[in-house]
Amino acid sequence: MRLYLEPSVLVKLFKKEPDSARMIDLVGAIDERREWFACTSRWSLLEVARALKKDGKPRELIELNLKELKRHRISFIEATRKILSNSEILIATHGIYASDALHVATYSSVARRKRLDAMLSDDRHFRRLGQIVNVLTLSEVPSDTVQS
Amino acid sequence: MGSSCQSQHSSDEGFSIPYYEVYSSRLLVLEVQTVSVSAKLTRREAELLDRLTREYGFISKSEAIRSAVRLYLNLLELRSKDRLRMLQLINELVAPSLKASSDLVEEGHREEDEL
Repeated sequence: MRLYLEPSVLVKLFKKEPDSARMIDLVGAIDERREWFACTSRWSLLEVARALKKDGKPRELIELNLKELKRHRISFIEATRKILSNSEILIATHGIYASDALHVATYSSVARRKRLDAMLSDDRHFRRLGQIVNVLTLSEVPSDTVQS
Repeated sequence: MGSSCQSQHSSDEGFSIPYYEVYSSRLLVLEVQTVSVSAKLTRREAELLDRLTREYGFISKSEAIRSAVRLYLNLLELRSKDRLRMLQLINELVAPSLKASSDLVEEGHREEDEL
């Protein structure tokens, strides 16, 4: 599979909750299988850091988690002027959060070139944007595809 | 089962150390070179280290630090999935929480909107 990883699924890596074990298996598949690909915006690192801080994690653990996140075969896409400009249009058109707009714009900017199958997300807001982005939840990823 | 051998050592003072029996096939001699590394800690960290050294029965603060470094290095050497599982466990032990990831991210978005 070739996926864009939205922050709500990345935070799952550091929490014990429904589908968090599947998320770990999925990152394992990304690391080990050549045909798998994953990317996200570099901005996601900030969103993950903020979510972990809100969750009460101490600074040292947040830093360790972020270092861990960067060690995997996940590409971090820069927030370019073009992406930011497209995000502005998405906010004005769909009335979505700035961060959500940034992810949709980033996804759209690389979807064709990187042959992405979907955006993996646990955020219900993205469902409204079904025409722009193909959203997949972790429970919709067949478990036999992620287990090695 | 390997054959046993006996050895006797004498010290400079002249007294004998008792015989030691070892199985040669199981005897592993490792030459370990050590280096000293100094590290600066905050006062709070040094106090915590003092307390943990006492509470966990480390023979010294150096031994506590050595154990912590080895534990960390072992964690980093695990394969990708195992390392993530261990880290998830550490996160749960250090700061358990019932909030869902999606809710935490959503809260962050609301904060940005309020700014």
